[in-house]
Amino acid sequence: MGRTVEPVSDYPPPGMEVRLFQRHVDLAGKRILEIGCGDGRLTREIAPLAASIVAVEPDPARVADATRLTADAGITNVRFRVGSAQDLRSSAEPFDVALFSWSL
Amino acid sequence: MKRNGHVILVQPHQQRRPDVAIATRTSRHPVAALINPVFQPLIDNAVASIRTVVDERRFTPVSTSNHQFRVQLPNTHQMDAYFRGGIRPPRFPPGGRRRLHEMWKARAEGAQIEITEHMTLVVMKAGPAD
Repeated sequence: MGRTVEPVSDYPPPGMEVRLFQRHVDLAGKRILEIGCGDGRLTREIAPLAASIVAVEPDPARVADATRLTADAGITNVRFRVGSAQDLRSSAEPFDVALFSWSL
Repeated sequence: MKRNGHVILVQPHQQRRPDVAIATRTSRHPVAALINPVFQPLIDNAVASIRTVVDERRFTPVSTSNHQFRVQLPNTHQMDAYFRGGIRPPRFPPGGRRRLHEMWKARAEGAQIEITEHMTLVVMKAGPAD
């Protein structure tokens, strides 16, 4: 399971988390809410499976990075928002899966 | 959230912080288990919150599993950069960094610094058990 990272990152290797998720929850065709998406690293791994993703992150700079990187990847089923989980309490959008990834 | 929808949480392991070792293709020498007193209350609170929503029957546990992954870094500078990349980086316990530098000076050819990270995956389903 070893790897060399460049640039260094304290996140799991690409694909590892999605493989683990899929053992328990089929993400295919699901509407997903991701809380604490950061620069969209995991968002972009999930996007090919999901019907749609709303990805929330409190840091506007990271949302800007996420938006740019995701557009560069040609991904179109993701909407990024600046905010936190509390901001979504009144949201009427029904999600199939809520994902909190490294968002402590 | 839809009824019977799922919540997935990926987070650092509640007790285990990163382990540092010096490794080659054929050997692995543990250096230290890092500590993170700043981070610990946060992960403890997160675990307590999960327990609360389960106790209140707002969510039903599906699975909790622990996993690890390893990162190899070429030198101590890269190791420091790796940890500084986190919001609340861990640190060595007393004497740990000195031990690292002593072991690093005496390393075998081709050795790298190997970080083992520990994570927990929690999956819950919305609502009480059927």
